[in-house]
Amino acid sequence: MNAEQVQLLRFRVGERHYALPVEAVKEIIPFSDITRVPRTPPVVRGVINLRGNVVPVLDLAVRMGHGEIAADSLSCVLIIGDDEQPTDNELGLLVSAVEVVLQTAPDELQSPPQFGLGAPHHFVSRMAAQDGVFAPILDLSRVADIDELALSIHEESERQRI
Amino acid sequence: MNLDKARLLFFEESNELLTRMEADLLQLESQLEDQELIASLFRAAHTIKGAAGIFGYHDITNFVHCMEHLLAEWREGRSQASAASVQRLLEARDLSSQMIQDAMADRAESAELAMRRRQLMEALMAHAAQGPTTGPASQPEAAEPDVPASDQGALFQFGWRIAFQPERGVFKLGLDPLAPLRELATQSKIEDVEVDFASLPVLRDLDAELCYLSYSANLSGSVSRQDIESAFEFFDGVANWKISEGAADSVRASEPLLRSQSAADLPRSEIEAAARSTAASPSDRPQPVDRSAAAAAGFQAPGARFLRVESGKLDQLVNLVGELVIAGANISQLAAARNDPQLNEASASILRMIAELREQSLRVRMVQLGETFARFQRVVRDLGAETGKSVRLSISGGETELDKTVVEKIVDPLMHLVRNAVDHGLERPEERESAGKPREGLIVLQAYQETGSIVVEVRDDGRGFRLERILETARRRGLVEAGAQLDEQQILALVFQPGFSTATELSTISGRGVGLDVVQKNIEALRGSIQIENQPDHGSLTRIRLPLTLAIIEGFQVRVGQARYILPMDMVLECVDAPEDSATGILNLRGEALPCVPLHALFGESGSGRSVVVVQYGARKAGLLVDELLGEFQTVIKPLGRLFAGVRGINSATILGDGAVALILDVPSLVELAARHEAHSVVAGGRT
Repeated sequence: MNAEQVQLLRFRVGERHYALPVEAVKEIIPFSDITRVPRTPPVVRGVINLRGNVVPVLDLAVRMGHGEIAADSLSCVLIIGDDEQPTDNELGLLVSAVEVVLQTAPDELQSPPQFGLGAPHHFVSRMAAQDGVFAPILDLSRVADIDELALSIHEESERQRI
Repeated sequence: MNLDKARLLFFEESNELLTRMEADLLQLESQLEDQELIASLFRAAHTIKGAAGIFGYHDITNFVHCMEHLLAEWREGRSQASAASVQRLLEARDLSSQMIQDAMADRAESAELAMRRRQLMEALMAHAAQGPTTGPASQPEAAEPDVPASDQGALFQFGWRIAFQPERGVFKLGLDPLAPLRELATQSKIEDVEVDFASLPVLRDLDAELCYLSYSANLSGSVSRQDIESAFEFFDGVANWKISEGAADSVRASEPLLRSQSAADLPRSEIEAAARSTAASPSDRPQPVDRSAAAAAGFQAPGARFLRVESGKLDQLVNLVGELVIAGANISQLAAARNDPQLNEASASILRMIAELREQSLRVRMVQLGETFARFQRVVRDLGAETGKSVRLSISGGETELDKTVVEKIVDPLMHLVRNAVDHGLERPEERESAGKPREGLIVLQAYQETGSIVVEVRDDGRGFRLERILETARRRGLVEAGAQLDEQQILALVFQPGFSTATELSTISGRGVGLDVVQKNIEALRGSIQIENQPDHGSLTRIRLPLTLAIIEGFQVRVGQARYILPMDMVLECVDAPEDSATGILNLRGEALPCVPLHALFGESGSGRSVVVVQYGARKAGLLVDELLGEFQTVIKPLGRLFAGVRGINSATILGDGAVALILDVPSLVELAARHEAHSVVAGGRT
């Protein structure tokens, strides 16, 4: 592999394509049992058992501003998080299907257009284009901003009434 | 890396030793002649001094040296401990502790601290020189603190010959073979140091982390064999050394230890003269010592029966055992489904062993409360002095054991309760006298074990709580409605309300803007409870109940709609069938009106709520409506992480036998949630 090349994991969320740098994804696991957490907003799909740790899973479609993912046999959870403090930073992202690992040179990446991304503009840093498919590359520091998410989960939990 | 570990160990051990020194000094105050205490203090100071030297904290070494020097004077009977000098040593101990904290945090010493340090060093040296006088001397003795001020206590004035051969691995232990020489150089003259290069390999084979060299040296000055032995004490077991008197020749002759290549010079003539002038009788002439003498002299590391284990390793072990508990539950579920008697038997015996393993591994993490309790002696002593009250602290049940993580978390709440007891509970001596009590107030700190939990009590024989004053204050602050009738327990519970304080003047001691509400919060965060017993004019007692461990609880599993949840067993009182009209929100429990929490409504689940789990926490009771009772089982607590910190009603999770995650319910916040919903009674759809 050429040192100049960037490796990207491209995946599908509903009918849309997105990508993440390969090194940002620790592992990919098939989506199966999940425990819903009551009094949380739809973006929280639930919690799963990952080798004895309880890991929250976000529905990436809801996070991007669309309807919930209808899970099927292709659905996967991308495990992200930093290895320094695995217990408090591990997070799963539910996606519809994992597609391909792309290799591309950094100068082939484009700036994202003004709109039409299928994602909030500040979630996207660059665009990857390959095989005629455009895939916004997600900025995890924004998409998986724990503090922001925790606040919105807290607000939802307080808002819900009987 | 190894050095960092050794350094951490140094900080940890020094802190332990300083804690012990504090306890010893407090005892010494009332038993000034106690030689055992003095010896124990001396050993502690000596160990800290030596270890600080190894890690290059020379300020600490020099400072603690002054403490050690004073203690040595007492030990040798050349001067006597006095109340004033013990007080000085206590101050010095505090300052050493501060210096070690600074070293730990890599902070530079503040100018104020440096000045205080110099003053204290002078004072200590003055005490050592003057014997049993009171008050610090004004003569500035130790302008150059590296040099012990008084040489009146010179022990031996002749030369020593040292031959020292460390093992190859000493660097990996974080030891510096030259450190003993540096330490000795502060109190004696070192000459004719020879290094033996014989074992040095060729460069290609040289491992930079190994020590290939050994050395010999001559020493002169006022050092005793004891001093030299103790300088090398840290190499006990990882080096060979010989200490012999004077002439290098005699050393060489009886020295199979060293393969020195060069002839050592003879010690200088004045040393020999000095040696003769001390006129040591032959029996006094030191013989080469074998290293066990150091141990016999009491320089053994304290607690030799113990093994130091990094607490992280224990946590890992407990986590693994937790996994095993889950896996075991899974096996027994599968075995039960197979209906195979042999398999059932095998799984039952595995479960038994797992339960035992769990018990044992949790016990490994238990520590005695005694050391934590001992800290309070000082707190109480200083507080008494500050408030002009005479106070005695009595401790019992220090041998009671509790999970280390719990112990760390109860120190602050206990501190608050003890401060409160001295500050607000106890009366002034004259007040006590007129009430017919002894002038000295009594605080009792007691711990004992009850089924599945540990109880810690703080008791005082002071004036107790004045119920009418509490009520008055609470009304004034709007915590209680004007007409409300409260019983004693309810009134006492008011002191845990945020911002409540009955102190008429805000004292600097407990009135730090932190009330008992924080104490209660901390205790409840540990799944514990706190209650007060009160006897007006005779004192009060605060009782804290804590779970034995944080990692595993007895859980009670219930089903709500499609989801399974866990309730902490220690809050479950009983289970009853739900009445037909449970929609009213009140259940008639044998004549008692019990508010009911409809969990399926709170959690947006569809369900009917056929059973009621009656829960109790603190003084409150409530019923939780659930669909099915699934029984009790051991639950390994898994944290939920920051993401869900703001979700009410849920505080952690666990993994069930089939691998699925179940949430553990937070009963107090659930009941509070239900109460708030009723108050708002807003009808809005939950999540669809």
